Order: sequence, then structure tokens, then C-alpha cells
Amino acid sequence: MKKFNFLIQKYSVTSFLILLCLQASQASTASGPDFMQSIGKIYVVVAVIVIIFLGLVLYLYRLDRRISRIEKRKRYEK
Amino acid sequence: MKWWKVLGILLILYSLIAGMLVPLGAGIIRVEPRRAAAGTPLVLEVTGYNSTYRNGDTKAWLKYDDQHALSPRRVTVQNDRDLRLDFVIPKQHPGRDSVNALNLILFNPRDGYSVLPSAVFTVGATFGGDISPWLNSVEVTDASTRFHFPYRNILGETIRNTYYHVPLWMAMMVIFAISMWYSVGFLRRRDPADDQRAEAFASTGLLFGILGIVTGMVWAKNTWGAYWSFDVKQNMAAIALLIYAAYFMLRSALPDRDTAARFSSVYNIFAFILLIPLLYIIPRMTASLHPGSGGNPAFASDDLDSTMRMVFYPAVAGWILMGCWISQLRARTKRLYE
Amino acid sequence: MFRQSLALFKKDIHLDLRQRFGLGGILLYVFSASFIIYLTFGEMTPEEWIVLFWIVILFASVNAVLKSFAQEAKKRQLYYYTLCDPYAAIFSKMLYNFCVLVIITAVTWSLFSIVSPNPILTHQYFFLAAGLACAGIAANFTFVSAIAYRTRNQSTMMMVLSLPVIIPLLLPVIKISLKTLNDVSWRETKGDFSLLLSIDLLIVALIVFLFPYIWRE
Repeated sequence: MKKFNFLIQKYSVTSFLILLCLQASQASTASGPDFMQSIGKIYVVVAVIVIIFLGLVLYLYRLDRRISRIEKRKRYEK
Repeated sequence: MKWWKVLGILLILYSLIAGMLVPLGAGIIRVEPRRAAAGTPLVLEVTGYNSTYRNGDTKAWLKYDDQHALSPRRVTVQNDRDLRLDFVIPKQHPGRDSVNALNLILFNPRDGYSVLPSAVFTVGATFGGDISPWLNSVEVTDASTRFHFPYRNILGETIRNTYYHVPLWMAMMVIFAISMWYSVGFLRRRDPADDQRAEAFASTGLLFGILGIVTGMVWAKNTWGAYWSFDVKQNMAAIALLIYAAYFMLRSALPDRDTAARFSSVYNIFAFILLIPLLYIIPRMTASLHPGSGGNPAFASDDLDSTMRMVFYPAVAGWILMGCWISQLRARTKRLYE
Repeated sequence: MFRQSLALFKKDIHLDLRQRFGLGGILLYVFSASFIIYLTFGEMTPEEWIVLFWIVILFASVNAVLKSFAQEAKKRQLYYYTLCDPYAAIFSKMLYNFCVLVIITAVTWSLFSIVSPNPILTHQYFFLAAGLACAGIAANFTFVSAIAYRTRNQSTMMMVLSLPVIIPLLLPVIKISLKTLNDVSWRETKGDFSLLLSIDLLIVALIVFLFPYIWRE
């Protein structure tokens, strides 16, 4: 449950930052220090995307293993 | 068969990380004022993006065309991102129009050059007379000293989408081609496993197509202003997806498995070969919002910088391999259900 | 093979003339569609004229081709299949559908010209484009109806399955039609015509290649 809340927090923070970055790229006058800060926060965004992707990859990997096991069993039974 | 799956994962991870973290080159995001009367001094306030104006000698020009450009009297660097340019716009302009659009060009030895087309409009220009203030050449060299992705006006940071939206489409085409290949193999050898693989690849291709269209719509909302602009390529992409949805409809509508496999294989080949003029020839014939249409070849050197290619091609390869992995899993699952 | 095609072609014509359905039904459809369009639109702008023209032809041809396949009893079809060369069968069917489509196009064209003044200026290009389009549509629908005939809901499947062909076929045709509203030269329409022709040839080549696989039962 706590993990879930933490994930929600991370998502809302990063999505807010993404919106901020999008705004900054659309010809608004962002003053120096804020812009540099938001550049630094891109690492959070990348980390989140990588985590999502690795999660999906892990799911595929486990599926692959499960299917291989069933196939091997079928072949053995034959 | 394991190594290529790992390779696919690594290539996509690389495209995710490198695609997001490499900074953009310098661009110009604000110029004020945008209009000037000819024959008056003009003070331009310029704000850049990812620029380092304090580094080295920053030069600026207001360019009329390749032979005519105005140099500023003074360049004041306020900080890394703000400049003040003092111009005097002469009354005489080369060319006969009384209203002219001048491009702003900035050059910095670290950033390279950045352009804002039609940055300043001059009104009340006259023709003829002394145009010596205009006879400056714009001295720029192409190279900048740091590695960056190009900054394009309107696109801005969204250019990174090129690593995610476009590879999905290219991977989709390859996967549909593989599906057609298995259909051909099925018609020749009548091995039901081939037909299952064809169906699996078609479904993965459909998935990538849907993802491609959705990512394209999000990108379009940001850059073109609407989710669906009835752009030719968007329409053609939607039709391509409808065609493959029809493939699955056909499979379910046919009574027994053998005829289903046979007829859907025939339709698969038919559909894919006709997809090629649909997606590639017709959009080039008409003007379109997409880059690479209306007569221009897609992904000419203009559209895809050499820096972008380094992330783009691995991304395409990565998504193709991922698609193959997903399709293979689907095909094997289908076989197990028999 | 040619003699077989000719024989089958004549058989199709005889079948059609004998039944009161068939071509008569299609022409009735065209009449009613044109009449409804006249009531709704009255005087049409040139673009509307062209678009509605092609829509009516498209829907009429779907019905026509589907009907021609459904007319024959299933057992007799099996008899034909065992007798003939598959290419003879498909060519005769395509030729027959092409003729039907040409008749439909001609009738629609005359009806539309009566209902609203004909806006087309360069006639020869329009007719050439219409001819090529008819060939392509006929080939495509013949092929697709062979597939769709076996499915449960035939007419929907037919429209849906013809999609990959209809789009690249209709787009150049409509472009040419819109261009013929003004006086155009050959140079301007050459690109569209070559695209149309190449798509027609592509369809026919694909059909020739793929039809035997559908044929075998």
C-alpha cells in the first residue's frame, strides 16, 4: 500500500515536470535558474520510463519461460 | 534464440536513455519586437534555448537573402540566454517590396548557429539607392563543439519523439512483411504452424500500428494543433490499420479452420502488396503536414541529422526485434492451445 | 483457355438475360439512387457531381458483382470448377463484371447529366480514367467476392476486404476527375494515369497469382 502511494507520488511529480518542460519548450520566457533545474529533473523522467519498460520486459521474460516449460513438458510426454 | 531478444531490449533501452538525455542544440525562442519601421533604429531582445551566449564571441545577423544581411551595431550579452541586439534598419532595402521579412541568425562558437525565420518584419521600405549596409556575409561554420540534437522551430524538445513514433511505424512495416512471408510459406507448404505465425505477426503489427497512431496523435496535438488533422499520412495509416483489422474479421467470419487459413493468407498477401503504394506513393503525391511529403523524400539529410541517426537506427532495430519476440510468444501460445 | 473463357462469358450473359434480377436490378438501383440525389441536391456543384457519381458507381458495383456470384447454384459451381481451367473462370468473370460495370457507369453518367448539367470539360480523360477505374474495380470485386462468398455476412465482408484496393484506385481517379473539370493537358494528368494503370496491373497480377489458391476446394 505504501509502495503504491509512493508510485502515485512519483508519477504525479514527474508528469508535472514533463508538463513544465513542455511549456518551457513552447517559447515562454523561462528565467535562468528554473530552467536549469528542470533540465536536471529529466533524469527522473528517464528513470520512470526505463522502469516501466523494464517491467514490461520482465513480464515478457516470465511469459517466455512459462511457455518454454509447457512446451518442454509436451514434448517429453509425447 | 535468446541473444536477439536481449539485443532488442538493450537497443530500445539505449534509444530511451540517449534519446531523452542528449541535450538539444541552441535555438531562438523569443524575439521582441517583431516589427520595425525601415529607417529607424531597432533594439531586439532575444532569448535563446539551451544557448551559451557568454561563451566566446556571439554574432548576429538579420538576413534578407543569401547576399544581403544586416549586422548589428552592438551585441550585448546579458546572460547565457538573453541578448540585446542594437540594429539600425536602413530605409533602402534590396528588393521592391515595402514589407520584408528578415531572418535572425545567431552564431556562437560553442553552440553553432541558430536561425529564426521571419523574425522581424520591416515596413515602409524603399527600393534602390544605397544598400551598402546590407552587404554583409553571414559567417557561420556548421560545427559546434558539443554533441546535441538539432533544435527545430515549432518542434523543440518534441523532436525526441522521432525515436519512438517513427521506429514503431518502421517496425510495423517489417513485421507485416514477415507476416506476409509466412502467409506465402503457408500457401506453398500448407503447414498450419506457418499460418499461426502469420496471424501472430499480423496482430503484433496491428498493436504497433495502434501505438504508432496514438503517439502520432499526441505529437500532432502539440505541434500541429489538433489530434487529427486529416493529413494524408494519418488517413493512410488509419486505412492500413483498417485493412489488417479486416484480415482478422475475415479469419473469424470463415467457417472452418482450413479455409480460414487459406483465404486469410491470400488476403494477407494481397493486402500487404497493395499497402506499399498506399503508404509510400500516395502521400508523396500530395502536400501534407508530415515531414518528408509533398515531393520531398522522407528522411532526407535535411530531416534526419547525423546525430539523430545514431539513436534512430538502433531504435528501429530494437523495436523490430521486440516485435519478433512478442509475435513468437503469441504463435507459441496459439500452438499450445491446439 | 480462351475458348473456355468465351464460353463461360456467354453463359454468364445468358444467365443474366434470362433472370429478371441481375442487371435489371442494378440499373433500378442506379435509377433510384440518382433520383434521390436529384431530390436532395438539385443543382450540384461540380465537385459534388463527381463525388456522388463515384459513390453511386461503387455501391452499384458491389451489389452487381456479389449478385453475379450468388446467382449460380452451389452444385453447378462445383461442376464448373472440375471442368474448367481456373484462369478461364476468373478471366471470364472479370470480363463479364467489367462489361457490367461499364454499362453501369454509362447509365449513371447519362442519368447524372440529365439531373444536373455535366460539368466535365475534357471528356476523353474522364472516360479513360473511368474505363481504367472500372477495370480495376471489376477485377478487385471479382476477386474479393470469391473470398467473401464463403463467409457469413457477404456484402459487409466484400466492402471491407476491397478496402486496400479501392483507396489507391479511387484517389487518382477522383483527382483526374476533378482535374477534368477544367481544360487540362496530358502532361498534368500523366502522373495520375500512370499510377492508375500501375495499380490496375498490380491488381490483375496479384489476382492471377493468388486465385488458384482460392479455387481449389
